[in-house]
This record gives sequence, structure tokens and C-alpha cells, in this order.
Amino acid sequence: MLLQQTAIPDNLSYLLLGLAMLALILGGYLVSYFVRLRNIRREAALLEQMQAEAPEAPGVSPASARLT
Amino acid sequence: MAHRVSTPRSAILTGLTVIAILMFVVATLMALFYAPTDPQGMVQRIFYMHLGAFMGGSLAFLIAAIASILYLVKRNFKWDMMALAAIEVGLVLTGFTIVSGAIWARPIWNTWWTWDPRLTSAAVMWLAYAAYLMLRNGFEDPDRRARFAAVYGILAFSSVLFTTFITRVRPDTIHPVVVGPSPQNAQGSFEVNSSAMRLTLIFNILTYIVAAITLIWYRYRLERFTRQVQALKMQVLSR
Repeated sequence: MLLQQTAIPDNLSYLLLGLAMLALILGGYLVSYFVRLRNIRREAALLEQMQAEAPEAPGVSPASARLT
Repeated sequence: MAHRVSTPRSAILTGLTVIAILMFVVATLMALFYAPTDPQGMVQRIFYMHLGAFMGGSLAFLIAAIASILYLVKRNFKWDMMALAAIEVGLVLTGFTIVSGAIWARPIWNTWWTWDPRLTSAAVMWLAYAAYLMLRNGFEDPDRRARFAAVYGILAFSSVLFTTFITRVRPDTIHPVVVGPSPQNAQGSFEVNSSAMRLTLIFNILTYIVAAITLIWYRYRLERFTRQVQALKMQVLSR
């Protein structure tokens, strides 16, 4: 009886599930961030290309140069 | 394409990123191996990440509230971008807080979820900030959108305060409290009673705070870049 009361329960699987959810949530957010960054960089590159083909407008600098 | 410019700010961000990654690895290892095993079992180790993520998320929402106030005072869009970035990061961290709490609750409370005051207020808080992201897209005019978002961002912070302090004022909650006495009905309470547990807890909280700041900074840069590209698009297309 005493042993039953003091024994540490085996719930390691829940800890592993928690770690998996941490990886999924944070990892998922990082993937979403990099996908958005890649898409906006592609769009910036396309706009640069369109700018280069069209006559130069004053005061318009390449968009990707501004990511600081 | 890329003419990426290296500035002192981007160097600081790179350094902060390295620090955040290292801290994250150390904090997780401390939670898993350094802190002693509680009588609750291994699942109790989730608590270090659970509380750390809540503190990081709460800080993000505080930054969003401050940025919202600054937007209303200064009418500078950089504060609107900051609030948006902070709320997005806060949602990720508090989302993990809620999920990790449910995982801890399953073996300890014998249920994934219960409509306890603390859990309910945390869910309401998360939904209120999720609604922020959806509602701000309902405005075409950037000024109106930013103004609405700023007011909403300030008001929504009340849900963070409510979630934080509800365990102190509602005796019927079963959610345990680690700092100070737990509510009388708390179930699954445990004490952070060794220096290893305290150190692990403090280090995890610091880690998630540093991670929150780093992620907000990256998200802010992405938002600024997105708006610059949108402005450029308007210029190019209007020729």
C-alpha cells in the first residue's frame, strides 16, 4: 500500500507528446515564416525585374535592398 | 536578386538568434534531465515549458498593447507593425501553453480539458487575439485598420491580466499555482522546492522571453518588407 502511494506514475508518453507539440507548433510557425519570406522575396524580385524593363522612376530603389 | 544590407541592427538580431537557439536547447535539456523528477512523474517536466511559454506569450501581448498605445499617440505605422508581429508570436506561444496544459492535465486531472475558470479565460484570451488577426483584415483603409487594431490590441490585453490573476481571485479554480499558495480546490499541485527546479524554471522563463523578442523582431522585419513591396507594387503597376 505504501509502495502504491509513493510510486512515481509512468507518464513519459505524455511528456513526449508535449515535446512533439512544441516542435510542431514552433516548427510550424517557423516554416510559415520562411514560406512568407520566400514568397515576398520572389515578388520583390519580380517587381525589380519589371522596374528594370520599364523606364526608371525617380526615388524608387530595389525593394530587396530595404530588408535590413 | 538579393542585395541584402548588413546593418548593426541585423548583426544584433543574428546574435540574439544564436543566443535564443542555445538557450532553447539548454532550457529543454534542463527541463528533461537537470530538474528532479516530481512525484507526479515525468509529465510534470512539461510545466517548465508551459509556464515559460505563457510568460513569453504574455510579454508579447504586453509589447503589442504598448505598441498599440504608441501608434495611437504617434500615428506611426511602425507601431502597428510591431503590435501585429507581437500578437502573432504571442498566439504561437500561448497556443503552446494551452496545448501543453491539456497534455499535462490528461494524466493528472484525468481529462484533456475542463471548463475551469483559468482554462476558460486562457481560451478566451487566445480567441480574442486570434480574432484580432482576422478582424484587422476587414478594413481596406490602412489608417482605419491600424486605428481599430490599436484600440483592439489595448482592450484585448485585459484578457491577459484576467488570465494571469484569475487563480488569485477565484477559489473554485482547480488550476494549481506555483508561486504563492494554490487555490483551495487546486488539483495536481506541486512545489518548486529545490534549487534545481527553481533554476530550471527561471532559465526556461528567460529563454521563452528571449525567444519571443527574437521572433517578434523577425516578424516585424517581414511585415515591414511586405509593406515596402506592396508600396513598390503600387508604384510599378500605376505606371
